[in-house]
Amino acid sequence: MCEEELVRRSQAGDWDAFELLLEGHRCALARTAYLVTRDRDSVQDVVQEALIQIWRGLPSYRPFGSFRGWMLKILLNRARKHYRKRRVNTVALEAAAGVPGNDPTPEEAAEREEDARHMSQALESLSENHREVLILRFYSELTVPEIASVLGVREGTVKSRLSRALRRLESALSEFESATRGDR
Amino acid sequence: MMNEERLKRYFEMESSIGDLSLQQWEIILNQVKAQRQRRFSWSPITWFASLMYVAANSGDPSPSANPQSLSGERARSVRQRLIPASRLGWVAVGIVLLTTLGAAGYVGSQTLGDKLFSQIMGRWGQDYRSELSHEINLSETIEEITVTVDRAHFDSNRIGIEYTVTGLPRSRSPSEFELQAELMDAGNPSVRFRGAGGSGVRWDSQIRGMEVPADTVKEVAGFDVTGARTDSSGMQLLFVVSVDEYERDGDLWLRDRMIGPFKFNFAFPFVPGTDKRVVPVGSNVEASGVLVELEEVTITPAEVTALIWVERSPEQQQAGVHPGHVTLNVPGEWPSGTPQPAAYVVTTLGDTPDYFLARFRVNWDVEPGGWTLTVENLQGAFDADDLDGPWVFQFDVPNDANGEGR
Repeated sequence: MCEEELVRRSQAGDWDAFELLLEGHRCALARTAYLVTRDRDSVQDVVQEALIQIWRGLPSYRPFGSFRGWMLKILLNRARKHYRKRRVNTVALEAAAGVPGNDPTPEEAAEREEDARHMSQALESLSENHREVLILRFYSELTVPEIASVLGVREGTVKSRLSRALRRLESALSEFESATRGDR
Repeated sequence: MMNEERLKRYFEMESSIGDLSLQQWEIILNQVKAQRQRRFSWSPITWFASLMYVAANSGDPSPSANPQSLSGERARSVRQRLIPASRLGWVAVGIVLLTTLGAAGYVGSQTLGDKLFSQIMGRWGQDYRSELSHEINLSETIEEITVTVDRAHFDSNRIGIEYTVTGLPRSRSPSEFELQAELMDAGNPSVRFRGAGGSGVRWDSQIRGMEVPADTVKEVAGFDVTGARTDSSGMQLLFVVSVDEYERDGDLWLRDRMIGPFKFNFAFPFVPGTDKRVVPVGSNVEASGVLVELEEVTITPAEVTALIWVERSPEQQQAGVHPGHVTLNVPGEWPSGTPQPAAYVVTTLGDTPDYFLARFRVNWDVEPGGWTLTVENLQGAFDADDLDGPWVFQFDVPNDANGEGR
């Protein structure tokens, strides 16, 4: 059954269709929730709250844009609230560095760890708007029109926001990397 | 560009920290399922979705009944099992906007409420105004919005409640509001009656020249009260309305706040089933290797329901195979020999997993004679589960089929 059909059935109250519909988005929902909140413990709450809102909002969902975009919009709203409640400024470096790769050498592992720390710090230094637009573009891989729909802004705004966010990220990365080199 | 690639890699790596285990996912889904409160809604979108939707879900898989043993006794048993409202795990509620607004042709002296009633109650809507209609006239105002329960009509198993919402901000679009209406047993609010059709107008619409004032919504909500408890004073009902206000955010409509709930307690001198006419049929037809039985047809002034049993394999139960397109052809004035599609088909759950109820919004006088019900196809969760029929049932509705009623 296609997503459109699942959405239609979910809108009519078919819970099984809703579960099937969510299955394809499970990973994206949880991961996006984490990227926005930066708090592993909040992911479950954010996803749950978002799903309740998604279920209740289904009757008013208009299939103008992508369903994924619509869900992410709701998820973002919930995640923002959690993020603002507890500004977590740290990242689980161990977990972050340990996920990919096949038996990296100690040097490679250290390098990756440092790389992740810099990126984490750089992202953290960005504004909420800039961080979100980067997540939506480079993690969720939404198109510019989809991001515009999710964030409720014009496409031109998305483009300029993306451009500025990347410039600031680059600048922040340089700053953190220079600081690290200076410490050595 | 280098940073973009680096950023992608970082997100991919970092985001996996947020992964949820299957167990966590199950917990979330169970929580959401427990908290979902999709209520009876009258938004045009819901109407549309419901119009398009044929409920599809199977209950707990259980061994199929032996078709050879189908009997009037079993039909009665099934009827009894279907009746308690609290046990009706209907998965989906089809909310039906009838396709022909003025087919009954009551224009002249009808009030707007009459027209709305006739949409959901069929031709009998007007008759009921005098015989089976009761003025309620209860109002409540919250945040300058007033909800008035005007009156209620009843059918053999169905109550239609006419209510009016006034005081909505004129500066807002009607689509920014959504009304939720629920009917409960006042003595036991956990018993919520299933929605059964509805009709309404908002200030940007009109029915046959009768416009609604600019800040007003008028609706008739139908509820199936099969199996409701009654005492000497009838049913003690709790009718609850809430007004959800939505805000537009780009392409999205998000619920901003809820105004209400507006609660109304009233007694209604209603005894379910008093004018129900039951026609036992009990004939089997096999097609595509599947046996289908039409057990009985129930005729009430507002609708005709057909109780259909499908011999499903456990796999078909799992796939939620159910009657898809079902039509009814009756002799009578209208629609003059044209098969009438079922407004919706609902599943029966719990201990009657293979039974389905097709509901037809009739708008014609019940005529005795030869009727034909056709199950055109069976549908499952996926296209591969679908089976083409038809399963055709021809049966007679005798003259005395009307004898059980009022």
